[in-house]
Amino acid sequence: MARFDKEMWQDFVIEVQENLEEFEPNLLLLEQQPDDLSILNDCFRNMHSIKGAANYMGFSKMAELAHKIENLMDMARQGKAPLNQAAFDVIFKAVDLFRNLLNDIESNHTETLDTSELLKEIDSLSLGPEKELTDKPITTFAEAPTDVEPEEDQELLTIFQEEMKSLFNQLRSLLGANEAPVNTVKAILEDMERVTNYMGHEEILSKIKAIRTDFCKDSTVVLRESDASAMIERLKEILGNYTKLDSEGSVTVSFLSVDFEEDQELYEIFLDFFKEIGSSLSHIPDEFQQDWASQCQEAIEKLKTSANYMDYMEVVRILEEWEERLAELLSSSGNYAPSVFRSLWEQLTAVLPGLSEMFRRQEGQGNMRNDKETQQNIEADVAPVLDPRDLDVLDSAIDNLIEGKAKPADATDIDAVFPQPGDLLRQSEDLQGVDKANVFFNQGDSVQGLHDVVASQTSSSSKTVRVNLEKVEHLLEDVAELVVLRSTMAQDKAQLEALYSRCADGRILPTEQLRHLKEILLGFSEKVSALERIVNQLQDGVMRIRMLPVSHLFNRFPRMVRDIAKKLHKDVEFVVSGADTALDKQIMEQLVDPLQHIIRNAVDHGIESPEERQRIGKPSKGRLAIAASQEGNFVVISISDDGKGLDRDEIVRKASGLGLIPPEKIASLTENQIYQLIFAPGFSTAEEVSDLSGRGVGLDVVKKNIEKAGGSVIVRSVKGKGTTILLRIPLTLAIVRGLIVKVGHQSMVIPVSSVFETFRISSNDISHVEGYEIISRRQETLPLIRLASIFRGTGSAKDSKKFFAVRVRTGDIEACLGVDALVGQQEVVIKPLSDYLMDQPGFAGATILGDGSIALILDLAAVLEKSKGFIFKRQQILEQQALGADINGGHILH
Amino acid sequence: MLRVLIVDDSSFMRKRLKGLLEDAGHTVVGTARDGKEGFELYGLLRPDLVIMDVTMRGVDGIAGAKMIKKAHPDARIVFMSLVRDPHVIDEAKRIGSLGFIEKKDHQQLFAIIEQENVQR
Repeated sequence: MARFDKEMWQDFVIEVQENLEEFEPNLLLLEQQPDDLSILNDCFRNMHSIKGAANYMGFSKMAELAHKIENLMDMARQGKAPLNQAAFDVIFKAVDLFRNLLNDIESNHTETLDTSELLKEIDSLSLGPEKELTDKPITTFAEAPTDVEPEEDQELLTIFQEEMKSLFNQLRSLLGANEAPVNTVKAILEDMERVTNYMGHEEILSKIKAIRTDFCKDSTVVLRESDASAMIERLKEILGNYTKLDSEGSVTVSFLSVDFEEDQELYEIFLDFFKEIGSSLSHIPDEFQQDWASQCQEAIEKLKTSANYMDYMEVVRILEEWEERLAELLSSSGNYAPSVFRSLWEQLTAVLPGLSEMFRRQEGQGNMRNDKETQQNIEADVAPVLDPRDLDVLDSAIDNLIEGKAKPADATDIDAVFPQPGDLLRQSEDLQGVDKANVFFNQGDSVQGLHDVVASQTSSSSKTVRVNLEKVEHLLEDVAELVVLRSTMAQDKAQLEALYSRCADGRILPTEQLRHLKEILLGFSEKVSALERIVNQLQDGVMRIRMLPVSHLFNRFPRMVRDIAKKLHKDVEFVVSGADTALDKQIMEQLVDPLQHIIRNAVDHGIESPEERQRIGKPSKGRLAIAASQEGNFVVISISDDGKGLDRDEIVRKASGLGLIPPEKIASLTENQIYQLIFAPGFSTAEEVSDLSGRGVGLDVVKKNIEKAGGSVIVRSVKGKGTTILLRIPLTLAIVRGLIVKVGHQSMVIPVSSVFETFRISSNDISHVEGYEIISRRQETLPLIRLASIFRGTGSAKDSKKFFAVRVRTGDIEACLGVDALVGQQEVVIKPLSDYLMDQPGFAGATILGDGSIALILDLAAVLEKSKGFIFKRQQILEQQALGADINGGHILH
Repeated sequence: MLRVLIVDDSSFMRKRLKGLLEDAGHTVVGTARDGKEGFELYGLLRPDLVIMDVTMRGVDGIAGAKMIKKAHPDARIVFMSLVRDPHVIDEAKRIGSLGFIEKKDHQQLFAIIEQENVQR
């Protein structure tokens, strides 16, 4: 039995999660376009993989659920039972159930949840009889299913198409030769009939039968050429564009072009291979060279094998001829005629479109000879990149190759595919002054681009490694230590330099030793600088590992918007952009709740009902967009809707009703300040409280969370047009630039992003209002919070006469913090505090400074809570003043 | 002991099979995510046995096996799949595979491996 170890559990959970993460957005897409076969197939495969993994682990509930959904998908893709709304609802429920089951399994290692309810729901979907995957009746040739619906299982269809194409090609190459034996032709046609019958395509079957009876009469032994081409034409018509009628209407199925993409890709690979090893074939020397001959032989041998495999019979023929000529030369040392090989090369380039361009690109403007002929035939249709129209041409070129019937005339078509220098040169004749060589090289670039795309597609998938987050955290901790060490060494360096200058000034050491010391010091300084640089890079690199595209965060929203919109009977289009913007994983986790809140609010309160929207002349479908972008060290996430917008007057009315703003201040409030009021605790403009958006306790939490992460919130809104909420969030949490201050003997760190200014104050600058210390600064009155009085045990005098003030702001609250000394600015790595310390509000974490001492990082939001009392007080004073009361301390108002 | 190539689009199944085979002393010379990759790796690695899934993103197992068989007619391929569709199983047989067994049926897998070992 397999090893049931921890790793396997983890793999299983990841496997199911990944499949669900793919499945859900696809399901949302499918709901919009239920006929999209490729999405259906993807969904089917996701369920199939989950079923496989769950089955393997023995989780029968999950496996059964996956099996049932897989069946739904299978029936839908066969066109037997298209998914209806009820089915989508149930499948979405199933996605949730999968997640719950997964959590269940993760924590209990067994399935304890009940799935029977949902299974019943799936069964009762009445989408038709459930298809038993285990014993479906076998459709064989003998049973000839005349009235059975065609089994359009995609897999089968592909196999069918493949087989048809191969038969068709057999037939074509057979008929290409003179006097094809009727018996063989008949056998191939019968094979086609068998395959068609197997798939149940009645119409095609009868047509092929008709062809057989028309052409393969008993009296004929050999098929004439005219008959042969007529027959090919008819087959092409039947198979090339077969329109199948079914319940959904008509579906056009082409049985001949399916393999084309694959063929084209293989062709590209073949060309690349040719380019890699076949350069000797393009360099035909004027004099015979032994080396060249052996290089050619080597290349031809390899190329022949590939060409054989690809069925490029014409290529094989030319290569064989080349080989023979070489052998003749080598054995009888006959006369070497470069023209013989040049003509062979021309034949090769004629049957392999794109080949000569490839070599010419390599060689610059070498071999232009063989374009003279083709130039005359070219229609000036220059396509820098292959477009679908051209693909048909390439398709036929490839078919020609396979048939071994390439004629020189085909080169015209072929050249239209890969733009020839000739096209561009001719065009450039009209464009005076265009450097021809330049145009020529541009053309080469476009071919290069095509190959680059192919190359990058094949390699991109294998370049990611999945790493346990714990390991990254460990790495980050080590890097943090290194950062600390780096600062320590910088300090050491400074001390050493000071010591040196003392020695030099005081002439304490003999000159000889002093010089020696100086050398050591210089070397040390250099190393410290180098170390700093490397540590910086390392730190940056590790931080980047922790960063993930925000799509991880955004992925859950489409589903959420769908559910809410459905519940509220609203029609909402949800647009995501910038989902590849990278953001620290930890921050991302902190953003989940705020974003959910904002989106919920937007759908619930922002976007109007379809009827309402139509009434006011908006499209009935509302639009909600979420976008992310990076701005310096911040990521900005915007959530905008085209709903009714925030109602300024309504907000003001509510806010003053709740006593959040003093009446006289209203006029002077900026737009943003008014909108910020919606984040005030207890504020809600919704007339009725719904179970979705809650009662206004949400938004203040949103703001708090974002500010806690070091970010800020901006609101923009136009009444009747919509609302945009911008979240500005630091790229990463773990390292902040901090202002290091001293309070008594304790070092503390204030995040620089919140610091407005620092200045020296003396006790004369301080006024007292109702027990609060305040200071005036630039015509503003600010509360002063002495850190020494908040945090005890620092050994600082609580009533120092002279000290420093640090003016800080988070959100709307502004205050000055009183500290004993300013030490300096430094990048610090935040280390979380133990849980029992976190109960004490005021600190966000700790860090180790360069000298090895520990500094506490202030949680400004919590510290400033302390000044809230003052703000409230100020408001009271304002109100009383408005009533004409004369109160002490009225001077604090400006 | 055999040199095995695993073709499956699920990383979970690839890992499990790899562990299983390696525990039994075989060498897993490579793993591929779809039929095309399997075909390419086959050419490079020339394994003794290919274990092939059917339902895969990209080129599926049947098409992949066909590609391999066409270029290397003596390739030994065994399908491991949850697919129970007789059409597919027939097709697998027609290609000339060694068997079509259920994903969890390790017993049968090892029976086939044993047979292969004897024949070598």
